[in-house]
Parts: sequence; structure tokens; C-alpha cells
Amino acid sequence: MMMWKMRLVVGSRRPRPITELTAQVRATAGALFAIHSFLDDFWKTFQALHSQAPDTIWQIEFSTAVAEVAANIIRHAHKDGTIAGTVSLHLCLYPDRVEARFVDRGLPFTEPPESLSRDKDDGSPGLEEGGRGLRVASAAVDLIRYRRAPGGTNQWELIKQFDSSGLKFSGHSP
Amino acid sequence: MRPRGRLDLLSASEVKQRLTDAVAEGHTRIVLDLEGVPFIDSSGMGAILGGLKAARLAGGDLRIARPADQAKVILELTSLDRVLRPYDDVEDALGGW
Repeated sequence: MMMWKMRLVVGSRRPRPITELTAQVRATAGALFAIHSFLDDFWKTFQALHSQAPDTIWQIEFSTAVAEVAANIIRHAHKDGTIAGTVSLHLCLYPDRVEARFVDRGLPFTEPPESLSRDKDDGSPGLEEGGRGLRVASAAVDLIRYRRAPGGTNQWELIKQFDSSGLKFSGHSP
Repeated sequence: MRPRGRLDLLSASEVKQRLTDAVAEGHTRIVLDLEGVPFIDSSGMGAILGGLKAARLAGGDLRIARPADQAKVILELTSLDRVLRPYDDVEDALGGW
């Protein structure tokens, strides 16, 4: 079960999003289907509101990063759905970027950012079957940031600029 | 093999099981036709890698054909296109076998 709402923001002095879309899903693997539908709706809204839509590959990269973080939250913070809860996903379109923010109340993320790089010393990819999700997300957006908020919520933020360049990761624990 | 639908956290274990079962049954050279797969996440890539390792361990190989744009993106993001070269069609992937 998913709910979402959209708000169109006009006439503001402060830099605010052109549009925002929020979804809330149960933290189970089945929620991934809803996340994809939500992203599809977001891109349709995007194309209706933004004069210069980024190309398909740009959109695929952002959607892939969002899906990877969603899967990571469900798998690790909610132990594949065995820890009940919901995940909220907030997508914002700005004139120069797109942002995604996840909030959930599952277990804290404890993996250090260094572990995002698991290529061999010679730069060739390893053949491990797991552990690539956040590395994929990091490579697909300009900024990915994790925060465990004092109230016990996990907060993930992903930013992708329209003139995408560079790769950063920023994460910190309480 | 021709999987259909998203290859992600939900379906990865089933796909890996089918690949490893195929290898166990003696099909050590496998072409995975991805035309019907619109989305692959890291779990899905893990399943494919599981099949690749099983095939190679048995003296064969696994190749992928007709990946969608999203599959090509995740292959490049993970640099796995170096070990899983995407073929434009199944016939090309079967070449040399």
C-alpha cells in the first residue's frame, strides 16, 4: 500500500523545489514495485514542469540509485521486512538538480563509507555477489549522504545535478 | 535463458537458483537473454555473477545478450562490463561456442 502526494510550489522568494512528491511504503521487498511506479510518476511530472528534461541515461542513473538505497533500507535496516515499519521517500525537483530523501525508523546503517569501494587493487571488478548496492548508488549521483537522526530515524539524501560531474560520499553516525 | 521482469531483490534468488540448477544439469554454457528485463539492481547483478561463477567453475561460461539501457548503466557503474560483455543479440553471444 502506498500513498503519495504532490505539491506545486510557485511564487516563492526562497529557493524551493519546482515540485515535490512524497511516497510512503511498507518496508518490505514488495515495496520496490511501488518505488518504481513512484519514480515513473515523478519523471512524468518532471517532463511536464521542467523545460529541459535530462536524457534517458541521466534519469536511469538517478532511478537506479534511488532503487538501490530503497533496497538497502529494506534489506538491512528492516531485515528484509522482518522489522516492521515504513519508508518515506521524498523527491524534489529544483531548477538545477533532483533530490531524493528517505526516512525510516529501522536499524542504523553502520557500514563505513570506505567499504563502498571493493574493486581489486588493479581496478578490475571483483565477482562478489553482494555489497554493491551503495557503491552503485554513489556512482550514479553526485552526492549520497546518510544520517542517523537523534530521534532514531535513518535519513538518506541523494542529489544529482543536471550538469552532473564528480562523485562524493558523505556519511556520519550519531 | 530468458528471464522476464525486474531482476532485483525480489527475484534475484530465484534467478540465481535457476542458473545454478542449469549448470548442475550440465548446461555450462549459458546465454542470458535480457530483452525482457527492464531493470537490474545490484542484487540482480549478484544473481548473474553467481551463475557466471558456477558456469566457469564447471568449465563453461555465462554471457548476456540484449541488455536494456538500464542494464548497461549498472554494468558500467559497477565496471562489471569488463567481465560480462553485453552482446547485441543472442546469436552473437553464442559465437565461438
